[in-house]
Amino acid sequence: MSFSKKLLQNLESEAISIIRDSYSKSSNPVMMYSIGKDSSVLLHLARKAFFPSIVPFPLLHIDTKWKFKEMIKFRTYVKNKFKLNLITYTNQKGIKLNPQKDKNYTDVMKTKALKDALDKYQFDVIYGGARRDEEASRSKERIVSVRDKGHIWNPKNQKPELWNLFNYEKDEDQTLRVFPISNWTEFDIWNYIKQENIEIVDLYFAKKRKCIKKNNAYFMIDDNRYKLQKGEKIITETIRFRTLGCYPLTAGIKSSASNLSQVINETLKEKNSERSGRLIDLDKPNSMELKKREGYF
Amino acid sequence: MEIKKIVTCGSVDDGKSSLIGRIIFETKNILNDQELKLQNLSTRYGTTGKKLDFALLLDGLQDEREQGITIDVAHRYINYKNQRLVFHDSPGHNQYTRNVVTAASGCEIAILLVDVKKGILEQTKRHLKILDFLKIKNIIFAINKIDLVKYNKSKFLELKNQLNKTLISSNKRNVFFIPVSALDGDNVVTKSKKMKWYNGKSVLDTITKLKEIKKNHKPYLAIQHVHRPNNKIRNYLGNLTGSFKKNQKIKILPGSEINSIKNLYSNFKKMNQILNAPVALDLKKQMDIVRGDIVTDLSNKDILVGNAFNAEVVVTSGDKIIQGRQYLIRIHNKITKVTVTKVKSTFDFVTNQSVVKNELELNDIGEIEMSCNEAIPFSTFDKMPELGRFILVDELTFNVVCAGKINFELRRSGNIYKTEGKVSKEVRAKLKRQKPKCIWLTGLSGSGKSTLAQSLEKTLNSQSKHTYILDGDNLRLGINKNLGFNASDRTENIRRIGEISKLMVDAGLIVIVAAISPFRKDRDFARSLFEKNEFYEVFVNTPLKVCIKRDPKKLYKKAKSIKHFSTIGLTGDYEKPLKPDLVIDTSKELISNSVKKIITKIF
Repeated sequence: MSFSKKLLQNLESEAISIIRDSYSKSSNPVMMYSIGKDSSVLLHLARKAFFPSIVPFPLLHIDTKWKFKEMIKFRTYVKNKFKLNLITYTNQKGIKLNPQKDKNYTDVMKTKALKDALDKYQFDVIYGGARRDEEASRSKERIVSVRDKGHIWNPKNQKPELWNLFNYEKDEDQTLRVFPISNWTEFDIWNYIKQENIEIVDLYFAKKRKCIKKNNAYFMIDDNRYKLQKGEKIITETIRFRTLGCYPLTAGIKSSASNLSQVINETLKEKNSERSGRLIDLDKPNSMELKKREGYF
Repeated sequence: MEIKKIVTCGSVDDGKSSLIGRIIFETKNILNDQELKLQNLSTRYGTTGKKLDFALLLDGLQDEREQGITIDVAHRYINYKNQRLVFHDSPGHNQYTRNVVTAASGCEIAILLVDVKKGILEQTKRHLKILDFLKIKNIIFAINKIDLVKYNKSKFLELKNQLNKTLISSNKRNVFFIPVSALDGDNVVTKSKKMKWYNGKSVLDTITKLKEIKKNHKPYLAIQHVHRPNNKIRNYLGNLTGSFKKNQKIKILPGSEINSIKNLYSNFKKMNQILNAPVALDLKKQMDIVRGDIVTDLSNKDILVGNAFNAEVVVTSGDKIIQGRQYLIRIHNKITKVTVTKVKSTFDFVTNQSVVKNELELNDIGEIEMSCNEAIPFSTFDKMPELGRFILVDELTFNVVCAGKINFELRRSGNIYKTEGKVSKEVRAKLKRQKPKCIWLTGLSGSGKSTLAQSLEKTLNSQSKHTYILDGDNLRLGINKNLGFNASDRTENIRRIGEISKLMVDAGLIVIVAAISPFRKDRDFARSLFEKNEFYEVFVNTPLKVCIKRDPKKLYKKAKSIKHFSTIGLTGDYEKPLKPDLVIDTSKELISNSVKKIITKIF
C-alpha cells in the first residue's frame, strides 16, 4: 500500500471512531457545515460512520447571505442527494451589515450568529471540521474541547486528553466541540477528496472568473452588491480558491489547476498557507485565538 | 510505518520548542506567510536576539508568547522521507506536567531534552517517569546546548552515564543519546561537522530509521455505539482490531454469550471479511448488547472479565484520589462507576523511592486498588494496552483525575458472588407495613441532627413504623473505631454508614442517619446506593453562630484552645448540599415542627 493510502486509512479510522464515540455520548448533536472542502470531507466521514444507516444528526450552516452563489447551490444539491436534515441560520440583526465596510460584520454574522443558533437549538455536542495544522492556536486544541457558558474557550485550562479515552462529562451549561479531522493536513484533505471521489464546489478549480485584484490577491465579484473602491476595476482572470467564505473577504489565487490532480500538485508546491487568503485572520497576531475564545470555530 | 507520533519533553528552557521549530524550518515545512508571521513575532516576543525564535512557531497562545513559556501541547505535522511525523510539543513547567501526559499518551517515540550545563533536573526525572509509565518504546535523549560547552565530548559522556543510571526500568526499549544544539541546528536534521567524535545519527534520522514493532492480537471489537435508527435495525459500531468474517461465531463479553455475525459493513459496502477497520455489525440473534461490551472470537483468552484491579496511575488534576471515594472510570469504551478501595503508595522524585500514602495529589504517580460496580471486559496494560488503560473522572468537577493502567486483576473479587435470597426487600417491608427509607440528616456539629433524629424516631414509632437511628458519633465508638478525622477517614466513615443503611433498608427498616457528612461526593455516593424515592437528604442548616453557642460536645471551644484541633464548621470544609430534599433550620422553628415537615415531605 502506498504511503498516502496507508496514511489516509489511519486518519479515516481515527475520524470515524471519534464521530461514533462522541455521538454515543451526546443527547442533541449537530455537525457544522460550511460547504467548504473540509466540511465535505467531514460529511463523507459521518456518512461512512453510520452506514448502512443515514447520518443521524442535523447539519448547521451559518449563512451570512454573502457566501458565493455557487456555494448555496451546492448546499441544496448535497442536502437532497444525501437526504440531510440541514438547518440554516442567519443573524437577522446583522442583515444590513456590509463585509466591505462594517468592522463588526464577522463578529455579528459569524461568531454571534453561531452562538445564537447553538443556543436556540440547545445542541450539546457540536462537530466541526477545524484542523490543527491550520493555525497556531488551533494546533493547541483538544479533539473534544469544552466550551463554557456563552461558548467561551478557555485555552489555559484545557482538560487532559489521554490516549483515545475522551471524556464527555460536563456541566449543564457547557457544550463540547468535537473535531474529528484535527490531525489532518490540507494535503491529506485533497488526497482524500481524490481517493474517495468526494464532490466539492467548483470554486476550488481554476476557471475564468470576474474579479478585482488587490495586493496580489483576487476577489471574485459574485453579485452587484460589491462597491468598487478607488483604483479597483473588474477584470477576468483564471483563478481558484483554497478556502471558501464570504466572497468579498475570500481571496483567490491565480492558477491553471482545473482538476483535482492539478490542484494537489499546486498545493504541494504552495509557498503560502491556505488561511493566507482569509482576511479574517490577519487583523492582529492573536486574532484567531481571540475569535476562538469568543466562540468562533 | 505510516504515522510516527513523537513527544518532546524536558525541563523549562531546555529547548523543546526550539528543536521542533528547527526541524520544521530545515525540512522546509514552514510556508512563506508563516515565516513572515514568525519574523514579526520574533521581533516582538523573541528571546534569541536577531535570529528567528523558532519556539514561537509552536507557542500558539497569546499567554505563551507573552510569558515565553509553553502551557499546552502543540501539534505539528510534517512529511519527511515518506513518513508522516507528528510532533507533540509539551510544556516544561511543573504546574503543567499534566499536559505532558496528554502530549505523550499515544506516542511511540519521545525526545527528552537535557541541558548539558544544567544536567538532570527534577523535571527530567519526572518526565522520564511519565514516559516509563506510558511504556514509550523509543527514547531519544537530546543533550542540548552542546555549543555552550564548546562541543565537549567528556561533558556529553558524563551526562550520558548519569542518565543511564536513572533508567531504572527494565522495560525493553530503544535508547539513544545525541549531542545537539537546537538553536544552531547541530545534529538536529543533519549531522554536525563540529562534533567529529560523535558517530551516531542526527535526531531526525534516528526517528525516521526506527521500525514499528507490530503485535498480533486475536481479533476483537470494542463496541462504541449500538445504533438503532428504528425497531428493526441494530448495528454494533466500533473499530475492529484483526479480522472478522461473515457467519463467524463470536462471543460477547462480559457475559460470554455466543452469537454469530450476520452482516459486516465497512467503507459503504457489505463485506465478507474485514481487517483492521471501522465496522458496523449485525448479529444473527438479537441480544442486549451495550457500549463497552467486547465482541471477540471464541478462542480468545487474552481478554478477561473482572471488577477489582490493582493499577498504576498518574494524577492529572487538582482533585485528589482519596481512598474510599467513588469515580467514573472509562476503560476502552466502557464507562461505569468505580471505588478506589486502597491508595497504596506514591513515588517520591527527591528520594527516588516509593512512599506509603493514602491520598494522591496532582502529578503524583502511585499505585491503587479499585473495584467496579459491575464486571467489565479488560486486559492488563502489558498484554493489550488498548484494553488495559483507563481514565478516572471526578463525578462533581468532571475533571480527568488520572491516567491509569491495569497491572493485574485482584482475584479475590472474582470469587465473590452475590447471593440472592428467597425473601426480598419488598416482602420484608410488606410484613412491616411500610416503605423502607433512608433519611440522611447532614449539617454542622451542634446543628441539631441527633435531637431531630431522636424526635423523628419517636414520632414514627408512635405510628407503628419500624425504625433505627445511625448516629455518626455512636458508630465511631464501635464499627468505625479505627477511623480518624482526616479526609480519607471521613470518606470511609460515610461509606460504611451508607452501606449499613443500605443493609437496614434492605431489611425493611426506616433508617435515620445523623452524621456531619461534610463532603458532597460522599453523600452523593450514599445516595447512589439506593433506589429512587428511598433516600432523602435533609440539610440541617442551623447558622454556625448558633451551633457555636450550643456546642454540645465542646468541639468549637477545643478548636479555639488547642492547636491542630480542627472542627469542620470553623475550617470551612463543610460542603453544603446543592439539591437537598429538605432544608431545616432548628434555630428558627420548634423540633416538633421540623419533624412534621419531614414526615409531610417523605411519607
